[in-house]
Amino acid sequence: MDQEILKVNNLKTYFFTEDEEIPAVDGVSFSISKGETLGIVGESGSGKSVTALSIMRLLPVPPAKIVDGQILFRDEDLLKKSEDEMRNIRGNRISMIFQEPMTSLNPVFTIGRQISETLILHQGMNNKEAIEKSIEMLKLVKIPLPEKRVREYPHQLSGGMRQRVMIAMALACRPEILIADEPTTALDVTIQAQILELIKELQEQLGTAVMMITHDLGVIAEVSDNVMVMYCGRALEYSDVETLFNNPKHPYTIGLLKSVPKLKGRREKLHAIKGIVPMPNEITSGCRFKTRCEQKTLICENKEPPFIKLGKSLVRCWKYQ
Amino acid sequence: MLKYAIKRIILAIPVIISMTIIVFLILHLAPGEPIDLIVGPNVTPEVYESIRHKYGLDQPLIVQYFKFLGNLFRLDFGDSILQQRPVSRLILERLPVTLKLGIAGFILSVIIAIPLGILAAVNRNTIIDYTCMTGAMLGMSLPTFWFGLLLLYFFAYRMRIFPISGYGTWKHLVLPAFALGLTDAAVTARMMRSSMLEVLGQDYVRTARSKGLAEKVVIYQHALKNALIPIVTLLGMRLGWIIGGSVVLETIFSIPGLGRLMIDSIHSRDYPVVQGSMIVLTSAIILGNIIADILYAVIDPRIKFD
Repeated sequence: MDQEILKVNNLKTYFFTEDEEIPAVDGVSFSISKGETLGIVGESGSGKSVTALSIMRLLPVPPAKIVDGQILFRDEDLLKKSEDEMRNIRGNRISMIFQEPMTSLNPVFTIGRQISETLILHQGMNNKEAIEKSIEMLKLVKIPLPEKRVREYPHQLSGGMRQRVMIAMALACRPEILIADEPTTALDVTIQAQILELIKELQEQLGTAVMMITHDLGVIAEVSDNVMVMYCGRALEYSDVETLFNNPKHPYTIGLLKSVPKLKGRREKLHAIKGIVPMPNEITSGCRFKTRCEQKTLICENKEPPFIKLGKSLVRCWKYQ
Repeated sequence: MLKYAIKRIILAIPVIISMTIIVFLILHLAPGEPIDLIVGPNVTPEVYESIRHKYGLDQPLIVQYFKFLGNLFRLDFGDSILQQRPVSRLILERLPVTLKLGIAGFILSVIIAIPLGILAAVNRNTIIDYTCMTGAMLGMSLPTFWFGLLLLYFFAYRMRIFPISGYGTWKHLVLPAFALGLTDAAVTARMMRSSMLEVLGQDYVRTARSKGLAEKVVIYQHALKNALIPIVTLLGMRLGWIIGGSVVLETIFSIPGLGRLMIDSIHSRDYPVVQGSMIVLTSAIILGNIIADILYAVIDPRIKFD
């Protein structure tokens, strides 16, 4: 568990438009060890996906630019790699699956062609071997009749099946890290559970580290070992999953957990965090959460809190100073 | 696949029938009697009537139409009033010329437009994009005949590289084919650019990149095949149009093609020839559309064959 595969230090990814700069990810640090699942949770616009795409170096430059930080993958900085070296890593040693299974597969190529493509590219297989391996991968992700499916096109499959294909594709080369960007958001609840179960199972079989990005705390509770709560381009709380759920510390995390409906006990009005996530460039000083925090004090207005270590957690809040 | 193709062809039948009605009516409703041209003003009413009778022009319109339709099935477009020869022969003599020009222009337009459209999309908002699209805008706004005249002036009159007019060698074909192809390429290049841009923003292109594929493969395999789907439809339609579009160019370059034949016949009210050539040209457009639909299904697996 302790072998660190990925270590992100002070990552800053900004977007530059004609008249403003938007710090979408602003100094985020975390690490993932072999076989570990790190959950990254946050509302829309908190910088989760940008973090993931920064690791893959898949953001369009311009407007995006990684202005500072390190992404150490097996102690090598991905930000210093050439485009060719990056291509060798993508889909091979670090893979990614996306939110939209309906549109993430190419509609004009067969499933088999799309899975075998990575195998031919990264593993030097020939066509026949790659198709055989693709069928094996489809079996692994529990798609019935894989020999038939391998010749079919994405539109012939349901959303859940397509996400399974995406997983098969991402794991075909046995990557060391799988980045899952909201893999279950677009799926039915029953399918969601199956997909999460599948990811967990394959992770155990293959020893892959998983970075699970989601806004769904239920998903986090289900799969994560560690959790990072992101807000407005910053990490506000970073701890192991049990501590986070049993003893949340940051007012934002507490608010998030309160806004999850409960099955037990009396039905109460659902808690909502007031206001909306500000644009990352709206808050220039003080704590990022100050506009929506109910426990705000004077210092929060002017000075941003550092990460404060509390037991196993890191919290960015003056309350714990 | 075959079933789909047959279905598409069957669906074209009502279109063809409507087309024959329109072609037939337009000419018969136009004022002026064609036989006036043959008989001249000094003729007795009896002779006049007998000639009308000979061409069937004294019968009710509906009877004339069905006769016309019946003859069409046998590819018999009647005889030319002026030249006293079967129209089908006249058309067959001219058609290869028009086809050669049309197809040369079409191929030229495709090999110019598609790479330019891709180039512009991939280098979006750079000087390359602006140059390509300004060129395309010019090509679209310049009338074909004017562009043809410009080419004639520079390459035939001033530089004397190509002959000014006539038909016979491949050199005669170069300028008109360029005039036709370049103006047509403008439309296709713009479509190609916007189609490619749309596809490049799709999730599956991001997936392709996330697999570690080279940018070449992402663009020329994953994106291009999708971007071509709307282009194929457009090209099918253009194939028909470009053959019809050579009417003007044939006149400018004095090429003895179907377009010239049609224009000459319109001037001389040679009904059967006008009808025959219009039917051939409109059929080319319908055929182009059928080819586009079939190609469409070949590229896009989401189109069902049954």
